[in-house]
Amino acid sequence: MKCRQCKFENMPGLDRCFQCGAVLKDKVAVDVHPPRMSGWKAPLRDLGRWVRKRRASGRGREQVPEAEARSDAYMEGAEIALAAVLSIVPGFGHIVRGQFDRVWWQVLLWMVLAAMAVYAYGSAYGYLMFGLAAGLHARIAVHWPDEEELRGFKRLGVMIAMFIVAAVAYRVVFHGVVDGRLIWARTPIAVEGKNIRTGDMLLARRRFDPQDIQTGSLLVVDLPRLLVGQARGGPFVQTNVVVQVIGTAGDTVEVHGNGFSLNGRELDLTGYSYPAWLKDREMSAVVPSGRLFISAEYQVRGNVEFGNRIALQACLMDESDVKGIIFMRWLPFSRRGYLAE
Amino acid sequence: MSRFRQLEFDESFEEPKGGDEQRGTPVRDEKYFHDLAVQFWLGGDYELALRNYSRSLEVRATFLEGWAGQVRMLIELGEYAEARKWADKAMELFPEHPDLLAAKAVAAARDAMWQDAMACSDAAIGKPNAGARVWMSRAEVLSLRNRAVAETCITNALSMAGVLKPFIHLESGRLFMRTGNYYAAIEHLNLAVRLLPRSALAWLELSKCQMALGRDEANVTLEQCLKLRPDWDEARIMIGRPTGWLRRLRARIFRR
Repeated sequence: MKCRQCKFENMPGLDRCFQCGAVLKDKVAVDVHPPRMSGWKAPLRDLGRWVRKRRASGRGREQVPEAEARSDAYMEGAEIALAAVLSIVPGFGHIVRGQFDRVWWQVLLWMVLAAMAVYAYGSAYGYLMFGLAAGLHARIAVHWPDEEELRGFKRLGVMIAMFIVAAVAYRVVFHGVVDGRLIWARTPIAVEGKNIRTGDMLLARRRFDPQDIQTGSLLVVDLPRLLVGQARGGPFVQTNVVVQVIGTAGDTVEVHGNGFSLNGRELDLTGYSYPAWLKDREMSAVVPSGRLFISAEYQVRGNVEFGNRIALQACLMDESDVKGIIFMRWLPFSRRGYLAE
Repeated sequence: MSRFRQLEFDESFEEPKGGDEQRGTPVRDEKYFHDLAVQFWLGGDYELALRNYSRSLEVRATFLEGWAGQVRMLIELGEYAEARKWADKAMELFPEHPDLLAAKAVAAARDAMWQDAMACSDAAIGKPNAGARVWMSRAEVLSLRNRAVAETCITNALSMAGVLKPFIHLESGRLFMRTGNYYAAIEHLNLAVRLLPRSALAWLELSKCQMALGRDEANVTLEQCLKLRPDWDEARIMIGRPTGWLRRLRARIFRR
């Protein structure tokens, strides 16, 4: 009797093949109906499978025989190197490798962060977005190898290195794309004549001609806080504050209760802001050389009245402290435009 | 029915076979049910296919194709644990048969049990009578681990497929599609529909592939599938899906 499986010629009367053990008779008593899975088990099985897949991807190539892994690495090495170089543009390396579907959402998020970084460039928000975008770029660039080869400190090291490279690259690129000498500041003052309201975002140029600073100009400066009475602690400087120039060197400025006079001429308050803390105050000064008389919304700390000497000191600032001259309303979109218009 | 049926003869007497055959009714032997099962599988009805494989085994319990087919259908139905159990049961009758080992390897691989899958696949491929299905299972096990070597296994499977060639093309196409290699998949599936024009499953897989690549002919292919099996919900759901420029763009960016 010949075995169907191994073709071994067996002695007559045997139930199973002498060589391979396969059944020889056609008639055997055996249940031929397979077991079936209950419906409720399906999600549990799916969960178990998902866990096993995650664990397997975590272990990476450890399961694969060494020689096989080496040959694969050899074949894919050149492609990975090319993809790494192309990852200078986030996600491009993955497109070349046909694995963009693994990082598409990260690339999308990176685009959003980069757009926000460009948009808010010069502000603290802009720098935050800038850092996040650089970090995400680093993450995308090492995404492919990190799952299979880079683990632990090695992975962290590569990530940090990529972050530094990305940050430096961004610094260079951003200066090309965006004028690096722009400052972005939220105004605490409102100037009706210039269509500026409290809280608007304004854009200033860092590089400017000192001759451009005239009466009515809006500037971005770092202001010291007014500390009076028993006030203690807290930050002493407000950064990127918007102020308005009332008088330049040689001008005589008078403060009379609720308005300014410049060289004896009353200023129209639709084009100028009058800060609340100067209300009902009377004083006058000749602006010294190299200084500016400004209208600024100081944050006054303390609860003691202060005299005109301190008030005057607060209104006069050095020209050299000016960080930028404002030229554009940036936000909201509905009122965006150049101030000269 | 014979008119001598009621007469008493000795035990060795058997009613002559072929009476029904002469009237044109097919003999319902294991091969008949096996062919039916294959037809149902090609039509995408895995439940009926499984039932017919079982019927073929009811006729002859040592029918290897019946056991292997049952295991394959359990895999198609996503019942991997049962498929492995049933492969073990079949191997009590056919110890370490390469086809059963190969099917068990596929079940283990799809159930994310890589080590078991590799062990079974290694055992299957080491047998002297390893055939096309063994190489196909090897390809599947390796492809799930992202191995380029899988393509070589498919070439091997095709080279030794013989009469199984249409099925191997269909299986190769499905495998490539599962791994996201749609361009390779579409080549095999085009051959599969040419060789198996009555297979709704082949047409459906081809249309899925065309749809993933954003090709406009996907709907025509799907209509062809629905002509062969009008009540197939999976195909009916797909018919309304768009195949416009957005899908093409997405296919271009995300797939090679």
